[in-house]
Amino acid sequence: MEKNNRKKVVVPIGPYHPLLEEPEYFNLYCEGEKVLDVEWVAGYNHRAIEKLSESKHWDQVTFLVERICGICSTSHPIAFCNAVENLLEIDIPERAKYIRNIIGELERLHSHLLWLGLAGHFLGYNTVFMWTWKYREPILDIFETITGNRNHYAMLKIGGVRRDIEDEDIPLLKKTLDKTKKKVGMLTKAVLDDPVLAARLKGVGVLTKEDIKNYGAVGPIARASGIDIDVRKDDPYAGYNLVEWKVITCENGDVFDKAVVRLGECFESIKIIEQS
Amino acid sequence: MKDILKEKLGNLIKEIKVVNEKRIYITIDKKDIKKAAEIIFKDMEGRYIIVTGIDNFDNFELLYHFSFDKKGGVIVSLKTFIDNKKRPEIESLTCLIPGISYIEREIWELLGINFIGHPDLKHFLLRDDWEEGNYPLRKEVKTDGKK
Amino acid sequence: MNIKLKALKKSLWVYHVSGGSCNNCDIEILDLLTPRFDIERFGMVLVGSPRHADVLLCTGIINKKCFERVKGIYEQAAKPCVVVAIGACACSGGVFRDGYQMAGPYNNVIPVDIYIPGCPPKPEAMISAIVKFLEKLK
Repeated sequence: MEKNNRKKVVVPIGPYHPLLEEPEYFNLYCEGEKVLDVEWVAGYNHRAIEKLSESKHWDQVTFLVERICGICSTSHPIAFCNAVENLLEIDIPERAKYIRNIIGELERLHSHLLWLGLAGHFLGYNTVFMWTWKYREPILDIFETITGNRNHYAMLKIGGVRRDIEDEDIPLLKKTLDKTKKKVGMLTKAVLDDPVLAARLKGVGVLTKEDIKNYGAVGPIARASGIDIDVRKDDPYAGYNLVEWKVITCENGDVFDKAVVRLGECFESIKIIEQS
Repeated sequence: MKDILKEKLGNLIKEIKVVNEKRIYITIDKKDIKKAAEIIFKDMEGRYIIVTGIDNFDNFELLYHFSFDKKGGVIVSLKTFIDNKKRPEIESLTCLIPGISYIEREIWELLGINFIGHPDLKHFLLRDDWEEGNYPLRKEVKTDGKK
Repeated sequence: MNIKLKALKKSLWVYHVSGGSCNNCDIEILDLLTPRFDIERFGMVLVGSPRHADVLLCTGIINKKCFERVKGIYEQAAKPCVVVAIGACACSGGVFRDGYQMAGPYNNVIPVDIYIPGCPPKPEAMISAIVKFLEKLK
């Protein structure tokens, strides 16, 4: 980070800012409207979860670990249960694998729609925000019907799942998925063709393959820069190797491509859920 | 995979343990960690995942995890032990893998292990005026932060 | 009832304070703005500065790192100001009660008027809490 910045302006953002949902502190070094460097201070959300889990019963830790993040709330119990099941060499029943698939992918769907909405909100493009969150609501309704809560649903347990998906809920699931597919298709066309979004997102925040390697980035961020890694394909857990689906990648690594990857993954998620 | 690793790392390996087809643990002396990490990260192109630190009662254990995604999703973990609990230190790998600097700061502030050569060792998750010498993740510290 | 309290009853402006939360309650608050629950039809708007706010929606356990800032925000907010603690963490600390980063639930730091428990509380619960409060004001 260069300290000889006579022309650059330092803009401190946070910890409390109208944009941010959580307290975070960023020091942006800007020249005009272009951000050249960022200094980031974290830790405002640190809640001592690792230390707390040392003193809890093994089943309580699944609930604790869910509350690391409210948006991706199933991915942490999946990681925890997989780790313990690998250590103890337990294999979970087949129906549990499919249920974990369904819950995991429904969560991915709602999370990607949330991301898109927040991206629109931060750009000031509130239409995108309102529409994507409206189409996210049916997915939260499915969660409520199957599990009892909209977000922290505690479906996982070491060795399997906590609750079954009843047969009478499946028609509702299918109907909602069909509707969501159509709406996500509409959103994809609207977002990808939109000149405002293209102007603001293309070429911004580019991560090269070298950067991804040096910083160990994974997930849609790595896939947007053209690196084909997805833990669900490379080291499958739950039932991902029992269903057909493909990994979506893009070339440029800018924010626009990250949006494209996420929207594409929504369709793949719907495919996985239908097969499960 | 085990044989390729044996060939590349040679006499740096103190012990190699294959738990199952996807997890291999290699114990290395702490002074060799940079050379071993360079071989796995640069020559064999393993993907850096994260570093974990454990407080065993008589020593500290650091595990550097690397993944070979396209070769069956194998995770190779380099294990080192730090026996000096009064002044634990180890060489920093930030010049090799820039992304490792954040986790080294976190391990420093929560377990107290000093990383020699780290460009910017300061508080990451805890307050800047956190009590000196109070490392929350050490076993002797209770859950609420008191000794 | 004096004019300040009377003015509070219509069109509340809310400001969202997060003292280290898992974000779920924050997303449920944003959900209130979306077309399904839509509190904007009641005139409630999310504002960007605590100085414009009538209501402070507080979530999260208070982290030792953001402790002073939360106090500062409460002092900056124009009085009378209603403080609402949303979620199990804000009411009592939730699952993180015993950790080393906990600086006390909200009522140890600023005076709280309304508690909405739940993890996360449903948007319907939040709306019903605000309606009950407005009835009480009468």
